[in-house]
Amino acid sequence: MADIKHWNLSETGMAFDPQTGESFQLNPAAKAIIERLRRGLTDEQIAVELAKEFGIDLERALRDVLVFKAEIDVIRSAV
Amino acid sequence: MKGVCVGISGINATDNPGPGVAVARGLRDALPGLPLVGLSYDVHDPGNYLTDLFKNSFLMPYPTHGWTELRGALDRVQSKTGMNVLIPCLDVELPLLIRHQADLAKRGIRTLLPTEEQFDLRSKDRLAALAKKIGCRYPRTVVVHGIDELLQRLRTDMPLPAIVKGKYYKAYTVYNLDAAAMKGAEIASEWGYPLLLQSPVPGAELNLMGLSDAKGKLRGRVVIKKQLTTHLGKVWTAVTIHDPEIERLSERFCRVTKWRGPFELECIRAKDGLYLIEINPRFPAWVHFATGAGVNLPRQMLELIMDGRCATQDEYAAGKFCVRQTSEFVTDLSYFENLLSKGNREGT
Repeated sequence: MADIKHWNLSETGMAFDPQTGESFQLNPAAKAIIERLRRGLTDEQIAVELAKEFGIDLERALRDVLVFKAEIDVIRSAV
Repeated sequence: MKGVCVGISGINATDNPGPGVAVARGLRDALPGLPLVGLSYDVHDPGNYLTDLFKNSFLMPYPTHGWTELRGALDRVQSKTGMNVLIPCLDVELPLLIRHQADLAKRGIRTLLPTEEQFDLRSKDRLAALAKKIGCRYPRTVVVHGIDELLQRLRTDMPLPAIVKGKYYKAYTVYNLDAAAMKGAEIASEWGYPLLLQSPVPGAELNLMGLSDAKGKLRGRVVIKKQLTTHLGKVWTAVTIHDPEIERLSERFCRVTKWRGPFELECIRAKDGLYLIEINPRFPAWVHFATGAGVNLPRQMLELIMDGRCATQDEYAAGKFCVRQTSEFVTDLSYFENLLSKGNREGT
């Protein structure tokens, strides 16, 4: 998993990596996941909160978390 | 800082800008009353007409005319303005000034210049060896001394696309032999031989600007990632970052070479790590980005020149967005006439 601890996250959902200079525009779900990862929540805990916040079932929420984390790794390795 | 008057060259703030105007802006920000003098090689240099920045501006002889002529011109500038510090901002004028820096000091003009050996170490035809010494990757590069040799290398052991580079300035990526010959001849006609052929390295372009004191200690730095560049590869927008690898590289560069003065490391962050592409022996044209981000290296340099010391200044925020702009202004034709007829803007 990419080190997102040091990313700057704006209110509008823009993430900036101060080490590489890359910027990402996050959708609300991505922003919600990153905020929770930075708080140290596990994938399952994030999925529970996401399911509540976005009104989706737990299984789908967990899949979204895992897919998003994999995508972030792909982006980071391509930078 | 009383009794100081700084001469600054490289005031060609054009589409391929020299750093001089940006250096002057940094000094003006820090020391509003400090008298600055522009030293120009072309009557059309925009810096000649920036009356708010430079109290006067002088046309100088090209460095190729030799020391006697340049020394005479500097003497005239000094007698008219009291210039006692010189910050040269162009690669081509450095060898002459480095060779004669003792003469400059004798005339009361202070500088902070690399030694001849330091200057040569980072020349493009010797950079591979220096990169190895300071522990950084360097792209495969060959030196060629003519167009026939350039084409021969491209036909045999240097695959296309390749980058054709001049020893001092300019670099073009070429995709076929015709373009390679054309661009090689274009660069050679302006800057001479040798030329360099380099394998391109895909990745993000990172630049570090730094200032080293006379003992090889880094006194300030800023790192940017280029976002948008011009067709000549000059930065147009950039963002400040903190990249630990290039930061450590700058410390090693200063320590190993005992570099004196400002410098710029041009690097590429590739998938397999950091590559050193070029080292410039002066401030880069984006020096005012760094000043805006909170690290005013021209002021630091002036302190080093005048006091022999300055505080280290390398704290800045990552994520500052730097934007270059073009703008126009209207001025008086008499300045142009004075530069042509009397060699300086004010006609003194």
